Amino acid sequence: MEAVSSLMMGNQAIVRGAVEAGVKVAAGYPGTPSSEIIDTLSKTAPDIYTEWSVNEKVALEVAAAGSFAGLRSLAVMKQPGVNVAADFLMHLALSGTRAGMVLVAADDPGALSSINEGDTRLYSKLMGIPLLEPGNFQEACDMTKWAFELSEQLKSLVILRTVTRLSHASGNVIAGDIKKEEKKAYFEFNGNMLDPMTGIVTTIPVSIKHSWQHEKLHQAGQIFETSGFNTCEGPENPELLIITTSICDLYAKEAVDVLKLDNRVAVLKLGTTWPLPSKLVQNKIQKAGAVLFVEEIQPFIEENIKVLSAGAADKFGEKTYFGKLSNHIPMIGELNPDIIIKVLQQIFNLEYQSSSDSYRKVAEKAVENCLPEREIAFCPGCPHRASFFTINKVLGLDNQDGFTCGDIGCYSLGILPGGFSTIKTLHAMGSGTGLASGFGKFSQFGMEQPIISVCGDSTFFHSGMPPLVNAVHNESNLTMVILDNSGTAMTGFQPHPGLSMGTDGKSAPGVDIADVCRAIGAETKICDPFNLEKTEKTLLEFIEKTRGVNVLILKQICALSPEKKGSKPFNMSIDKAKCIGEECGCNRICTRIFSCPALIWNKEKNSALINDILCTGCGVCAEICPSDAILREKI
Amino acid sequence: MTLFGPEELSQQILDPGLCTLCGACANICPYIKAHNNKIVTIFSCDRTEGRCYAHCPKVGALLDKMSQFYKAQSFTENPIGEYIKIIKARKGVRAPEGDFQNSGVVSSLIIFAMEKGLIDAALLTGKDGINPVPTVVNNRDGVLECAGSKYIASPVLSMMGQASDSGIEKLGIVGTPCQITALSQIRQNPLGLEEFKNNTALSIGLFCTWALDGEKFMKYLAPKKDIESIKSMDIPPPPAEKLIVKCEDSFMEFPLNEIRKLKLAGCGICPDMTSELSDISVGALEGFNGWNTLIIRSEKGEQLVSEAMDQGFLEIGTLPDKCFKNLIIGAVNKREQAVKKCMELGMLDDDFKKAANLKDKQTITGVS
Repeated sequence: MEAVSSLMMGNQAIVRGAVEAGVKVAAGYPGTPSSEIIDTLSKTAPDIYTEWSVNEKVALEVAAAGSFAGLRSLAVMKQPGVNVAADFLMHLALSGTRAGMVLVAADDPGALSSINEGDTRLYSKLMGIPLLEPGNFQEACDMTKWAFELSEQLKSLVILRTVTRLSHASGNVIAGDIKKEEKKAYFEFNGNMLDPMTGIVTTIPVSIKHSWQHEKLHQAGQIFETSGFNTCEGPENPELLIITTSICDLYAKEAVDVLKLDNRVAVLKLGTTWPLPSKLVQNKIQKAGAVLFVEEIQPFIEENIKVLSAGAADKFGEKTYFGKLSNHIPMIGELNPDIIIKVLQQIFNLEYQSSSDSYRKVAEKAVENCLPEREIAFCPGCPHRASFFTINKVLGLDNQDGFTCGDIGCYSLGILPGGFSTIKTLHAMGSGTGLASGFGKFSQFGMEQPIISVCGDSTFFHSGMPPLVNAVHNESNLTMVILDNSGTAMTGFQPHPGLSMGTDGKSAPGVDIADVCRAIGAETKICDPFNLEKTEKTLLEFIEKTRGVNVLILKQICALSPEKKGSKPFNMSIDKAKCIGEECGCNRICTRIFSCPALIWNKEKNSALINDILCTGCGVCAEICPSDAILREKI
Repeated sequence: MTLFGPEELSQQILDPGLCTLCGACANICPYIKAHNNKIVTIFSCDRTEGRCYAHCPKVGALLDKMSQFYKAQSFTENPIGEYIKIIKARKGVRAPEGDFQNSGVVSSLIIFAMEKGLIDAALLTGKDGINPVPTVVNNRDGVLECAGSKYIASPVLSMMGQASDSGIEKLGIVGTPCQITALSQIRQNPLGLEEFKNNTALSIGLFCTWALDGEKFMKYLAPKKDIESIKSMDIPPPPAEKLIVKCEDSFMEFPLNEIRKLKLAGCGICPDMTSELSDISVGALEGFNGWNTLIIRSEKGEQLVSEAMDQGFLEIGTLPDKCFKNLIIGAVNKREQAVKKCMELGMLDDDFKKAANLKDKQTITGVS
């Protein structure tokens, strides 16, 4: 039968590979660009235990339990999640695994949906874990499948690193057969304590386990030497050898093709990047005139191959190396074919223009004239806009230079003008309240500024609880505002422990955030952020109270959530007699400050306008207008 | 008068701490608010001309007037402003009793004006403990609850818009000189707005030499006295030189030279002791307990006083010469000191009023 090729998103290809490998347990925490993997598994493979865990460390632990009980398992997270899981990750690397276990880590070069540019690959080296990097969609499927076999062979976790452009772009994939195997989960622990399959699972004795880990890595290196995932295209003795990994393989090959350098340049694509297949790499370098490293984020293969080359200098002498360390490839941001083309032009002294001057002029003019000047804003009807409007107002009224420590979620936009520039610190998940806990203890040094932290509902469970406990126990002074929009909204409404719905969409026991906060010892109140007046009053009371830890839960479902989308509680309109434009003195607070995308300023008519298509009818703007010119009519 | 916007108001008055909290800028404006007896900005506004600036008694009317005095070298002329008549007065027999500071003249006049229909309601300063609270009242009891001096500055005019929104067409206002100056600015509609409606039907100005900075005063009092327990305060006429804080069944005295340190810095640039732009001004009368000084400035004020007398709400008498002379001396002193202070601060220099640099606009669309 002829193989059928299907169009798959990179993340779907990873799912396909895992299903073909017979994965039984999959756990993760939502985070772009990784979220579709668990989402897809939960929707398409009911015989697999799939879980949105409370955070990435727990996800890795849940998946590891699967491996220990004899079930092939998958943990999925974005790169910052690997940092969260890192403590268990290091111990898991040392203790080893049983049934095949793969950690899919999705990196985000260019920080398109992140506030950092972390590179997971360094963990492989740091913690001694074999690393695979698929370079296209077919490999995303095939390599994932193979990763489970490799893991079982080595009795070690294997990391599969993907990047945004692979995870979120789509390509043709020829699917393989699905391994159908009934598995009974059972955890053996009565064997010899040093037997990895039947004894206790731990990192001790460290000296023995550490030496085993090195043996596993050595074995992996041997396997990688002949892996079909490492490919080389181009002349045998190229003037330049491009060594690349991941999706950059496509950029490099396109650049070579565009510049017609295929007779002068070879591209060595490494799919197995830790440990490096040293003989393969040395062999290729030996035959090349010079080397260019093309990879995203850290100069990972560049540095490690240079170390290899230093050890083999007697074999092939000094070579010229181009890459991030020689400033040919940028240290930051995503790569693309144009960047590689420019580097190759520089190295080969070639003339090339990707577009004509006349086209560029037309394009520049079009950008200038057609694109509206617009900053990133919250969606129409977003509860966060109302929440930040009030937080900002309350801090202004209080007038004691109070400030807000931010956290990770849609509400991170609170750092931008669209969120009234309310957030003044923004770091990792849960860090807003941790920082606030610290700030709130500095009154002995004369610090009297009121402290607010904001934290999403999913983030609260992920890592917001420990800093709240810390603040209460250490008698800090802060108000934690929990922006509860009933879901992990930014990544696509994945459920979290606060909801009465599990990963599979069925009912599950929800953990009440207010109950948790009260049990921790914080004075806790709940408001609807759309009720600006009550929210303002409650938050003001908290802020003006000088001591203690308060929690204000601002509960309102995300405007885009499946249960709310399309419903409209109010019909909004403008009272043309009352909206008198510039004469009003309001200086367009509705469109200039509140900035809901559904509110438009009609310059010709000197009046506000509601975009009925965008408007979700939340009704908040009616409270913003000082002249009561925005009308809301209950539907 | 050159008109500017909120940025210039901040630079020239709010940031240097020269605001005396009349509340005019916070009236209607969605960006500037009066909260806890402070004027605060909650969102930035990049208007180059605004009511906030145009109505400010410090940067607008006051400075222009001071410049005139300064240029003409005649700042001692007319130190208590234009007036028709100056007399002594006290509440009449038909006016209700209350917990008045002096003779209850202000309360009597407001109640009389309300009952005869000259005003629908009055914007007064009520109190919550010793905290002054701008309050709109429309009956005798409401007026009586607001009786008595507050000493702490209160943003009375920030309530004007709210009063107007509630349908009040004839509003009586009692205020300090800065408030009355701002009120006269508001009534002149300096921006020439078509929609403007003047709903002020009567203004009664109070004599004032300075007001306390609420925040500083509370900080000063807090370690000495449970603020919640304080019922009222009084600064008896000279030579007492003290502030008396009264609780349920005790009182405490504080030397006035210490209390003066807690006054609003902006009072130091105010040249007006007697609310020169009111219909009627009312102040203490030294040496005559139970009487007030009353300055009638407008025909409306004159008619109100006359009718109030006729109907037993007011009793009047001749102001003793000595009292008049002392009043003039006090008013001249205040004006001289204010001009001196303004000069020190460079506020009378030609380049003091200049447009702010509005490069850093807070606007999400980037469209100005």
